[in-house]
Amino acid sequence: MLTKSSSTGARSMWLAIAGAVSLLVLSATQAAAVPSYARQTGLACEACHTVFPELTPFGRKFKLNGYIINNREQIGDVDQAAHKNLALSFFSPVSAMVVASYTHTAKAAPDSNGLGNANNGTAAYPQQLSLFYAGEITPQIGSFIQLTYDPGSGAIGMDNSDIRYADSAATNGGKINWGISLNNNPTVQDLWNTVPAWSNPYMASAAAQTPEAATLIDQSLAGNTAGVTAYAMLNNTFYGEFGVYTSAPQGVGQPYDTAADTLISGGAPYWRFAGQWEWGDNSFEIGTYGMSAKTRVAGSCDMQTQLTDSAGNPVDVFTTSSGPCQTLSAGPTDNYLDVALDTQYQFIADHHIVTAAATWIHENSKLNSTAAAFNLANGTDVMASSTHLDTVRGSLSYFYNRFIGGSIQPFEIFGSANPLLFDSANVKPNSDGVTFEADYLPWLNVKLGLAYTAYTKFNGASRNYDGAGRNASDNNTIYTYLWVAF
Amino acid sequence: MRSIAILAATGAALFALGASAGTTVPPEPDMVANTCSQCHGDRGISSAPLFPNLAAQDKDYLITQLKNFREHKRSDAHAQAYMWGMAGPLSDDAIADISAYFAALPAPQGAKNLDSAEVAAGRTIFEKGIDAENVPACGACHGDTAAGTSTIPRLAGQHREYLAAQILAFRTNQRNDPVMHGNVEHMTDEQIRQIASYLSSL
Repeated sequence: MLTKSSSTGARSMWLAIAGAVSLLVLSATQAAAVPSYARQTGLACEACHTVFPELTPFGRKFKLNGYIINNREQIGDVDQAAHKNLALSFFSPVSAMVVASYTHTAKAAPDSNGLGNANNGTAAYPQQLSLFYAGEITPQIGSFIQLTYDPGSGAIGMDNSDIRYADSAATNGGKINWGISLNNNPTVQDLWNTVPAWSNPYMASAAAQTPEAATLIDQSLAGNTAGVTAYAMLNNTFYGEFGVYTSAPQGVGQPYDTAADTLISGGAPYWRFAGQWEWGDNSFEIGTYGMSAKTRVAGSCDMQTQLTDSAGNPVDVFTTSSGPCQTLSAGPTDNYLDVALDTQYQFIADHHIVTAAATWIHENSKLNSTAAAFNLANGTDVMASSTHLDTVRGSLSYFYNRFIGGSIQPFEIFGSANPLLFDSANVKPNSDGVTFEADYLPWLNVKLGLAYTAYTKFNGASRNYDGAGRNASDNNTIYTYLWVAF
Repeated sequence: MRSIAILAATGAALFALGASAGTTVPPEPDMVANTCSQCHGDRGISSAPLFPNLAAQDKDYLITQLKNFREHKRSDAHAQAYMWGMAGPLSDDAIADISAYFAALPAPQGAKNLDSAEVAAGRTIFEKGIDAENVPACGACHGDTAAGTSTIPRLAGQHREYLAAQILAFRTNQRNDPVMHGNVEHMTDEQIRQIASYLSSL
């Protein structure tokens, strides 16, 4: 049985990876609504959004068809056959968004250096600052490209990105809308507000403690992958998509080596099938999505030791291990299979908007690579076993006149205990709770949010989950934010 | 038996031809295929009542409305949110082509499963008006079958919710039309639901 005291380089490396992923997630989950689409189309926000960033049925069509409706004067050209071969907007489709926030938790979080507790009460300005290039590029190619300044790292980095080619074809009595998406986050190209990239909470605190366990498709790959997917929608009802992702980590040299920490081995297939129906003021969707991936942990044979610099500060240093190093190009793999179900119902009338959305992600994994790295570092002989991790998330929201409203967002994470992955006292991933959020939109592109998240279980337990006396409810969070898109 | 089958098939074909006589549908304009159809459908039948059915709508009415959108003369909320932008770049020729296309399409089927009492009350309003509210008979202008005439729009088979929203917009002057405002300004919400249900059922 592995215990916390046996934590070594492999464990530390995994935690480092988890931390890096968390940073990516924090930046990549910040969803967006893009005024440059409004400028391009001449349509008000309400055409595509109930309340940003949630999409209306028309917004889904706009995305499905490649973000290319353009009702503004363009610089155009045609070839000899009179085919349009240039459609440049007079003005670049550039937008920005800024988020300022304040976070307070029930009890201050532990200090990251183990020195007591962190300051409780975190003002973030900006929590996030994003620039978008979002709009038509050619007559059949459109983009959603987001660059984000992350105050945590002090750097500007690639955030969500979706560049797509779209077309349509008549069928016998029907129509197929199809396209190809190049994107950097599985589910960012999706049309419904059920999937990890585009579901509630659309804005969340970067300062609050959040559960450490997440399935692979649940934003764990956001921003550090490259994927190509092909999709088709038949008669605005049946949607199918298939694609493949590979690693494209940011901030590391190329070709990718052990500095990349973790890489997908080969390609990771992704799929999505959904049916949607619209009637009256209502729309309903039910579907499935998922992916399969094999990854390798790199450099995890290195021992992490702590030295002291000239000023006496502790510094983590990776030293060369005595064993053979596990590389990214050979050896055992961590094998993941994520299968998810999702459903969404929307009622959109002139004054009242109701949305119910839910998803359940089930992940089976066998972490051969992580176990091998662990054994190398610890001299143990742990066999990787099959584990599962499940995430269930729901949201019920109501808005009046797109002016004021709120949502209830229950969530639950549960799965197998895994000492290779989880840092909690009982090495279980279980977390559950609910977020209540109230929103006020004085204008359609300005949102003031106040959210309270209550945990009944956190990282495995309700009480003393970290073995140091911290309870799940200590992480209960009050979070308020101002979100402006312009 | 074979002769009967041939006769029946011929009769069905002639009936189908007769149903569409005089309404040769022109090629679908690119603007319709790429943009209009996303809300109004390729065949002018929309999937959501927020967006009106345009199939078989009067061509001149469509031209007038598209120009009103383009020139911001029609200012109800959804016109501003959607159609000001959509119609903004349209030339007069494009408007004419789009209007001719939708006008030539087969009319929508009337809605089923409506409240029969509401439909019956709406029919009375349509045919006789409401004297007490100074509401004239709708059919006087929109035609006995609500199929419209020239710049007077077709109402038959339109979405009930869309019709009700437009009457409300006339009543509150959000959609600025002095004639229609005078016609509906005293209508109650219940009467609006009734007339909308009846027209939707046609």
